[in-house]
Amino acid sequence: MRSSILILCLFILAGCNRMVVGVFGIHPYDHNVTWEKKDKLARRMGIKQHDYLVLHHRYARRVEERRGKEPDKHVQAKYQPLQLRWYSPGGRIQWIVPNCDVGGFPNLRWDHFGLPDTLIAPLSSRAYADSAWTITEDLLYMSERKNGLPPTHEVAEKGHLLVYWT
Amino acid sequence: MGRQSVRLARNIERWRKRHGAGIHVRYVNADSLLIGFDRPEVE
Repeated sequence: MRSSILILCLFILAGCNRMVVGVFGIHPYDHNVTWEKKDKLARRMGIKQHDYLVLHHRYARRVEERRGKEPDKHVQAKYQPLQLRWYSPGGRIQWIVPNCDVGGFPNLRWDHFGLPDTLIAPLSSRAYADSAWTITEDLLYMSERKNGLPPTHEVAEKGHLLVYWT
Repeated sequence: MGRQSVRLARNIERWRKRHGAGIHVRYVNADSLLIGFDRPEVE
């Protein structure tokens, strides 16, 4: 009981830091992780081949360029291992929900902000999103897992959702 | 590990079945982002 309270306090204090990521069953970065393991997890998640993208290392440089120009919390939010990113039909980013804002223990409660009934993000999530970012620019830092090619921006009537996972 | 990723994916799939027409959902493996968190200079 005492250890549960301690972990809960750590989580609250940690905010968007990574110090307790492993405790919540989110993949901390494993330098020995193989593509076989990643693909196995992708299958468990039910990700279809044509929806499976990979983020490049150089994306971190893009995030680092924002350091000092926006609050630290916003930079740290963009490094979170689980994120939802919503873009308008035209491709402009609308909001980012990182795992650290979701809450819940021992499991993250994504339904706190509406899943699976709706997909409505709190105002704070909109603050993370730089309205100048577009999905087309973000896709420049990604490739398709199946063939390594750059993903194409496809038309979507209502919008685009990118689900960051590790 | 990865339990939270699987739970999130299940939530997304349920949501997509209810509301997903006209919405394009893609999943991005972001392991490289975690390297960046530790060592942003890594290319």
